[in-house]
Amino acid sequence: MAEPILRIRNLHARVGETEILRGVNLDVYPGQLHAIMGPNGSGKSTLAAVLAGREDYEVTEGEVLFDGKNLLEMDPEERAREGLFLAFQYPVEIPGVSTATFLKTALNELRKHRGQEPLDAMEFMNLMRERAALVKIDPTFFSRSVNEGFSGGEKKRNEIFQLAMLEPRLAILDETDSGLDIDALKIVADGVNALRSPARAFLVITHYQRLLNYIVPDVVHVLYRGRIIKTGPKELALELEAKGYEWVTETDEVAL
Amino acid sequence: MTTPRVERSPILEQIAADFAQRVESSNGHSTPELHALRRQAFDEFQRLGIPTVRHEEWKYTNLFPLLAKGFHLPPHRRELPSLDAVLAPLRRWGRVVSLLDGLLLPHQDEPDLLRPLSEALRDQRWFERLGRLAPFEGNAIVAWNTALFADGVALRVTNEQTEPLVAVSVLDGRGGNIAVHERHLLEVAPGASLTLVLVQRVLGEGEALLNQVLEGWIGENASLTLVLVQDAPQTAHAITTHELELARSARLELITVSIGGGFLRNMPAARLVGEGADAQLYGLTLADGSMLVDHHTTVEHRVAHCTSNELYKAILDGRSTGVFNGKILVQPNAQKTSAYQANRNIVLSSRATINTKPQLEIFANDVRCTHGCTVGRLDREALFYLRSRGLSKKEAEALLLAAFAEEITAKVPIESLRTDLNAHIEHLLHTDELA
Repeated sequence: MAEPILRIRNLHARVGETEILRGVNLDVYPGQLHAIMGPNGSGKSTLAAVLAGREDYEVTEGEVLFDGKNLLEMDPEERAREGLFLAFQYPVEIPGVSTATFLKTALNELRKHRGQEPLDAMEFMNLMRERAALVKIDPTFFSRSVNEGFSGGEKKRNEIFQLAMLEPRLAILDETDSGLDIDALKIVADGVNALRSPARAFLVITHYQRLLNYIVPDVVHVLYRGRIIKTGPKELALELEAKGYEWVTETDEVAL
Repeated sequence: MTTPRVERSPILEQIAADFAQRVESSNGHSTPELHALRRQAFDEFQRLGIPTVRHEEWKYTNLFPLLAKGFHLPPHRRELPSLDAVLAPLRRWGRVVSLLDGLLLPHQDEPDLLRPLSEALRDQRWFERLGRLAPFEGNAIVAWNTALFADGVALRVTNEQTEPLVAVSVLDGRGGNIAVHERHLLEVAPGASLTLVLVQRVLGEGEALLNQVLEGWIGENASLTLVLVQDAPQTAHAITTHELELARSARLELITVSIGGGFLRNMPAARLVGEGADAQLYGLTLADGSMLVDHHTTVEHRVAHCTSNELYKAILDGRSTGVFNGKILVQPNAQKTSAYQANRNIVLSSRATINTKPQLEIFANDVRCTHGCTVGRLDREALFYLRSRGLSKKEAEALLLAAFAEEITAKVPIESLRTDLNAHIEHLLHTDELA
């Protein structure tokens, strides 16, 4: 089997004095889509934040390899340039910076890192139009400030649009389904499905099984109190939906 | 009666010598009335003295370190330096008229529109206006200017001026540190409109202080857009007093962009004296090193049904100092006034300081008047968001700061000027200690 894109070993992280991740182990291989589910407060978003390099968290133990490289040593921008992408649970509004300027700067930064020439204005515009169509984003968005005044659904679609533009090796979707109505959820899911490829992996973090009706995972994990306590095939998500998280957390308490 | 304060200081002695020089050089070139006015103004200046930091209006802005550099009036000129290199880039912005050490240089414009103030003052109608909006009584800076002004322009606009006018104050610092006092009178006649850009340039290595006083009348339904461009190197200093009076339904847009220079103190005032008048004041400060930028604004609502809005933003780095003092005065008759003021500051360095003070004096009871002020650092969430997409910390900071600044430059109605200012700002954000 190929080398994993992401290998997490015994990852511990805390914010302040509170330990939130308490020994996470996970391997994600090229082409795979892993879902991480779990009740509120289990550490799902912390895991996403630690992987993306948010400074509020302190890693106290363990290691993370991204394509064999030590991820935890990298600044957030280095992680992005190496091909990691986080779709934010709460995308940030950036007044005064147009989506086009922002994406052009970001994309050319990634291209420079890969040893590619920057795209010219025409190539860039064509790429934007093509990728925006994937998530039904209107080209009038390009000149608008990043996320400013966007609805919840528009912000999430904009995250997937950025994903499509930046073509990461590993995409982490942090509760991308939260706050979406069913139509927006389908648009986002269609976008994600179109972007699945043998060279790319996804880590989809979600509280609800609903999203996984549209984005079908290869592997489902249950994160609870900072550890992955159960791993299974896609059917695990349905089982969790039917029986609730108590079903796994209770058996887990016994096992612990 | 107040006894004149007797103070012996090299600064005051220099100013007294400057006054003697001014009196001598204007002998035979000016009217007895103007002579008398200068004398009164000089007496008032001596009575008031140079404002110290004990003066409430000068609490955060100390003139003494600046004046200690030693400025003298420009020497009598024998030949004109070539200004082509200085003026050429400015011609992109509009029709350029230039003043050298306060004297209007020969230009192509029709004399009805623009002429030297000294010439216009021979006309009683212009002379009567001098000091009407900017009286020297109680104001040391205006008194200093009135006593010493070299010259300036009288500008009268009677129709819609589609091409912006760019007035360049060139100060010749090749012979040492100089102080130039410029005086301007401006009338935008009823229904007329003008976009006026004021900009300062310094020749040579000397430091140059511009004390500029402008009195402007904006007539009924007339409109003035005044863009003050302060983008010169740190040897350029300026104290500006821009007093503008707005008649019924007149409109003023004042945009001050302070991104270069050493010591900058701007005192714009908009006096709304006719119903339906509207004043918009915008300011941007981008300072590093030991730069000091002080915006002391006054918006006075004298009559009912006027609107005003102010937005001043500052980015401060290094050891720079920013001051914003925004006075809004709503007089008893000014019912149904709507006045807004906002001041937003980003402080990048622990050695930079911002002093901000809203000053609302409201004597009417049926008004909408609000103000807000923020001082902070860059938004951490926005920085992380940009970095998570591959932008370096420095690039992300520069992008956010440029966006912050461009909210003000976006108000500049001249595209080439806006482009030049944004490019200058981006350059400063990428190369200086800023960000």
